[in-house]
Amino acid sequence: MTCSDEELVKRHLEGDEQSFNQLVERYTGRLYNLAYRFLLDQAEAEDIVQETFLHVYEALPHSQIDLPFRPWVTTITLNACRSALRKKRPLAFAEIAPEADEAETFVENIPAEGETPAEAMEAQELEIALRQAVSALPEEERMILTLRYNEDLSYEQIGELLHIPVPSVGTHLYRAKRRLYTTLVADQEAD
Amino acid sequence: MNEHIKPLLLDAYVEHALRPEQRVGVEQHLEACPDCRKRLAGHNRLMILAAHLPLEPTPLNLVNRVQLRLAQVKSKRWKELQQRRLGWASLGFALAGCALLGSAWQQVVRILTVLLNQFDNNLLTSIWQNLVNLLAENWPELAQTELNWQAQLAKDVDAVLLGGAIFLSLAAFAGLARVLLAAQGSLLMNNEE
Repeated sequence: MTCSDEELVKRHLEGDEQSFNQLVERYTGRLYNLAYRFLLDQAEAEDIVQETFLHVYEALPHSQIDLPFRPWVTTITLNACRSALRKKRPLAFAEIAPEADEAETFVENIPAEGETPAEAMEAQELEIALRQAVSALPEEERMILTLRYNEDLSYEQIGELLHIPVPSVGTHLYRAKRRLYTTLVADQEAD
Repeated sequence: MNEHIKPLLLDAYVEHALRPEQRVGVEQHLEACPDCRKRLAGHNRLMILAAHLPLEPTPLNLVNRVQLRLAQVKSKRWKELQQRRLGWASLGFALAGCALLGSAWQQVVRILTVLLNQFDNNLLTSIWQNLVNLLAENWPELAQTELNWQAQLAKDVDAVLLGGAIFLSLAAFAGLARVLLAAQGSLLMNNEE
């Protein structure tokens, strides 16, 4: 039987050493994914993951254990990423420019029939292409796409985590998807 | 809703991010508008593509490295805790020593007095006293010094006890300083982390 995160936290606080290791096993991949998408640097992302778990380990005895673990640990990771990025350069989510006409007509140009890029590519090929395409996205779009599609967070949760208004989440997400589609179609055509 | 649905609203619709009343409005419009239905298909395709977004592959052994680092931190914290406990224990012993000495002070003086009185009654003391008397007859200055020996001894005992008290107090301060330094070190380390 798989224990919930909160159950593992409770057991850890009761002195079960293995419970925290299980949380590490469960969350390392997800947190690394988040940190990497934020920083686009493997070594830094690994450091962030380690720092996050140390922070969680130190903070757990003083925290409210009835809070959900996953949003908490995600917030810690994103805050650590922000700090790391701030050291390198000032971080500010760009002002959203008004929607261009191109956005209005974009979806009309997507063929309703036929194979989508996702269907046309082999799974492994698609995975690589998507990873490359997402790395090329602007920071805010990359993060919103990751939080939405890898972390299954709502617009409200994403807005809260990234400190941006909920409507901006929708705008960034739509832009990100358009860019992703354009890149993949361009890749297909190039092949 | 006669105008076509804005792309952002339609995108939020496929993302299930609309409030129920907005959702109903969009659905009513979609039923009546083939253009928007066509655009909806495009939004769905975008979403399907994005839904394939994979996680970045986790670097080799990252889980093990995290667990190893946690184990190192746990070990370090345990050692610090032990050091802190040792510091507090040494401080406690020093303070207890001082307290005992202080409370036993009168008892120590009383025991010494009794011992000295018994010593006075000894044969050895008598012989010694005779020697002192002899000294008094021949060298009065020396004898005068010796007659005050009990008072001198009491002063010496005072000095020894005072020295002991000072030593234990210093030990107590050293213990306290050690505890404070350990606490400061731990605080600095936490801040750095």
